[in-house]
Amino acid sequence: MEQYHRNKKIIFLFLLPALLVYIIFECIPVLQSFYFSFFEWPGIQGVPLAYVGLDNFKALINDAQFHRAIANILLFVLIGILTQLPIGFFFAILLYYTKHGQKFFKAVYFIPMILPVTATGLLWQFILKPNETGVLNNLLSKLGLENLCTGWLVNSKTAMMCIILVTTWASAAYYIVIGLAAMNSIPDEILESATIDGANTWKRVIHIMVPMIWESIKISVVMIITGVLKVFDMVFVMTEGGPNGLTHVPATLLYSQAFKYNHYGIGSAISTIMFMISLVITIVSLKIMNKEDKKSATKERGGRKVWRQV
Amino acid sequence: MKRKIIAVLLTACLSIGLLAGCGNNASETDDSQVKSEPSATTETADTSAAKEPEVTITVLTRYAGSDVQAQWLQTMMEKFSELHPNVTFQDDSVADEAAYNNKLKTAIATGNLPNMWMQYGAASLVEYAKNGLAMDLSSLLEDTEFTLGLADPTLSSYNLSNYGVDGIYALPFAMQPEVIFYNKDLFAQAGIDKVPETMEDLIAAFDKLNAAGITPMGMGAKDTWRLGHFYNCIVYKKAGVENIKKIGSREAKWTDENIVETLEILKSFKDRGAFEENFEGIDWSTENANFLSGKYAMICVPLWFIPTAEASEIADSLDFFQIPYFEDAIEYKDNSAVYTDAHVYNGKLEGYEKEITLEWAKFTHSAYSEEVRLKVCNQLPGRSDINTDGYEMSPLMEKALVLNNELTTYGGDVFEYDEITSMQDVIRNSLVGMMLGTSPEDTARSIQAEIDNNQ
Amino acid sequence: METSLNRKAKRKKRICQILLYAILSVFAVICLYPVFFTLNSSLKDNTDIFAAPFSLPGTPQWENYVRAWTIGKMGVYFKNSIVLTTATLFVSALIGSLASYILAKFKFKGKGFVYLLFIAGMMVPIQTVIIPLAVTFGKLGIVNNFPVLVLLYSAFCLSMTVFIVTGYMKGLPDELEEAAVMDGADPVIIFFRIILPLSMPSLVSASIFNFVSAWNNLLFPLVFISKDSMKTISIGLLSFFGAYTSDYGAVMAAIGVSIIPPIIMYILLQEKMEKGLTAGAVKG
Repeated sequence: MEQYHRNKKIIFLFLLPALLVYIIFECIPVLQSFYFSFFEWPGIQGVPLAYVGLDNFKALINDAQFHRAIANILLFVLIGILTQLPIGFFFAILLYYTKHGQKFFKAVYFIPMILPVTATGLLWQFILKPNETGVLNNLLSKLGLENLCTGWLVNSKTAMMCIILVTTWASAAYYIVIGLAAMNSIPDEILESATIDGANTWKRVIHIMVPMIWESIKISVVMIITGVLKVFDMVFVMTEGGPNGLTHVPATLLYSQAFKYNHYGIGSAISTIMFMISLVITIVSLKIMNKEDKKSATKERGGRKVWRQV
Repeated sequence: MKRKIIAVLLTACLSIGLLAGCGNNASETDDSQVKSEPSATTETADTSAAKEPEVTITVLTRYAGSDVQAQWLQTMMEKFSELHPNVTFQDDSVADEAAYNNKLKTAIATGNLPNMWMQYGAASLVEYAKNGLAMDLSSLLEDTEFTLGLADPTLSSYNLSNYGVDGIYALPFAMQPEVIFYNKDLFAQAGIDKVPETMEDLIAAFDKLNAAGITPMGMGAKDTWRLGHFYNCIVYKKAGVENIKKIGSREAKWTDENIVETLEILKSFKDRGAFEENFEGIDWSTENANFLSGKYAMICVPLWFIPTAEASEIADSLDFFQIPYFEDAIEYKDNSAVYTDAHVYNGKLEGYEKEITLEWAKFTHSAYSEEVRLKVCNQLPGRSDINTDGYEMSPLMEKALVLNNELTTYGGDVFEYDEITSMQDVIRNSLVGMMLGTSPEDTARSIQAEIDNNQ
Repeated sequence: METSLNRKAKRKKRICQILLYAILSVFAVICLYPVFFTLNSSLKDNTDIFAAPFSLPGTPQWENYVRAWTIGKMGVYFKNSIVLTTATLFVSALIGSLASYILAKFKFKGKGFVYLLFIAGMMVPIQTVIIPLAVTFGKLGIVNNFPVLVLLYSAFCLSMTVFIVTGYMKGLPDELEEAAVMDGADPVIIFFRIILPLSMPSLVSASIFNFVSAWNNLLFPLVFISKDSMKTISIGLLSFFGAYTSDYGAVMAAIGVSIIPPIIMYILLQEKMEKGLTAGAVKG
């Protein structure tokens, strides 16, 4: 048996196909992408790459559109966490205490998640159309809120926010399911003991549930961050980064630079910078939460003790 | 058995759909095509055709689907195959701009060039010419019979000498002057009795229309070319075509006072209520539909709009007028925005394939070809020597022909003179950005910055 | 005294219950209404869509679907998406589970590194590789090539597959293989007869996750497919939307065509889909 599990031939043959595909189509291109950020290529076959040193990065540092894209993606991350997570876990808690129809509501909430992003983007784009053609505006004026009507995806105050909130609409269900799964894994006795102690629901949630599902909250935050930093489809479908670069995120800017303007080098530089940023943010957020984890762990222990004594 | 039933059902669905689809837009062009059929071609059939090798000519254009010239391309390919039975066509055309650009980009990047493709402006053409991707068409100039009838007999539209490239690498096709189509009923309703001749008149018309509660001008600026086109008209009438060309050759700048002034004018139109609210979020097809249902008094659009206007329910109320001029810039009164598609041919071709591709180029720019465009597609012909005997032109087309003959100084889209590929988007996006609040000075600065960053 | 307290508590409880269901229902409407609106509009004509956006269609305009299916070519795009996605799922499940088996059960130098290499892929956004791939494919003239696209899609499915399946396989007891190894059975047979069937639940989870990402993928087909006849549903929908913006009924029908299958699939496989889609979040 031991011998079988050390058989080099099997190891090699079974691992090879996956490794080959993975290295050729993912690993090598990732490395190439770093390499390309120091070159320029006009997108014409036969024209060699031209080495330009750090020029691509310098150009980006001075580029207002790139600044805007970075600002947008950071806002996206922030609002993404502040909406997806609370909505997700709030409804997870509600569903946890729902005796009848839990399955039904969960299924309904999950539907926005399974729609193709292209379809989601297009249908919301339609709803958010400006003037009386837009369904949202139409609804608002029917409710007598004409002054709230606007060109949702045109107005500089609302455009980015709309894309972010549509993304929340499409992905909050993820965190409902994760949260619910985490709560269902809490042993019943713990909650029961609290009930007998006379703790009301709200206290129970705060003092017992949150620490018990802290692990999944943590994972959710990291997932939102990494997910949002990758975002391309929703923005591309809804606005393509427009009007006038107002809603660009790095991925859509990269697409424009490389595939519209033939600035393949600048596009690669964007992807390199984004890769670094997402690496740093992910590591830092994991670190921060681990620290908080330790803190809250001690607090929670103390808290529970006090509780028991009462 | 099951599979068969599904197959039958699918075919049924497909054919129903096709029939339904055809019924929509093709019916009107169909009978006019019949009329043009007997008009004989002047081309002589190639007698040696049988000996020629088999070739496939690949064509990549946007003349497909709902494009008005789709029928023209089909007819030309059919007729050319009749003249040269050894030639077959592969038509990769697609109407959608993004899809088209993607196809062309892929072709250029992979070196799988079509025999013929189309594009706008000089930007990429310079790169293509320098790298041998585009065919030098100078030899066509020797055929004076061919060139003399052309609207642009010296083929100077795509002269690249400013960019250090000799030769001619593109044929201009389909001259389309930009005009303002207007709704006569709405003008009357607002008490406008005279078509605006100067920009001052136009502004006065805006005010009257607004007072009558009518949106003066449609502007689907979500499709940024809409605002770009309107700006072309303003800048040419106010600052002249030459000055825009100078920016392309780096003798002038976007931040120059005379250019900033044109941006200010465009912005002042918005402030004056020329367009509806939030027009920045409205797309061209909505604008088009709204104009044709009488919601706007005017739209600024090239003459390819004629067949659409004539086919609409309010055709009788529609007419067009020339872009008004500025009284304080009377010297540029004759400067106009006129668009052409550049037809480009594969520069890597050799031998017979090159020969036959050149033949195709000539054929598609011949008097016969322009006749087909006029009669089948109701499009303004690009040659003066076409046979219009017995063909009754529509009033709008008649007017368009007169206008076309009067053209003296014209330019295409402002970005066409710039070698930087991104200028198209940068300029158009910046114009939209200006409408959304950026100042004209900052708009000029951000456009100029793109040039400076690319030096 | 006691009874009134009891009644109060009961009433309070009932109010809480009503409130709970009210909140749940409002959120349900928010989640469902846009979808309902799309399907509703897809059966109306252009005037109705704008004149009466909230009412039900008078006479259902099924022609909208016919137009979306034929002129909009949603049928073709649909077939392409199915071919591409199915092939991707098959390839990634096969090579992914083979590799997972090795990573879960076998011992060799550098195993940790190989595993990490695969897992790190979850961090890599697609747009990172798109430019180098476009350049390389351009040089090699690879475009509109389904087999290559399948391998490309599969590469991006491998991280998740390896992550989920390896974790699951680690939990399978060694004894299962033991008897077969003693009998001198072929490793391939051991894998396909013993390991693979037992790992099916994890493979299903991974495949559902991969299905959604492959079905939705926009960037790869956007850059690597230029032929209309080879477009997938995501870019097909986008180009139809671009070309026929003002035929709102047909556009809505096209969106409908693209959202109905996932909804049906979800209704059929609810639990499995939830598990698969959130698999990445639950430590495997």
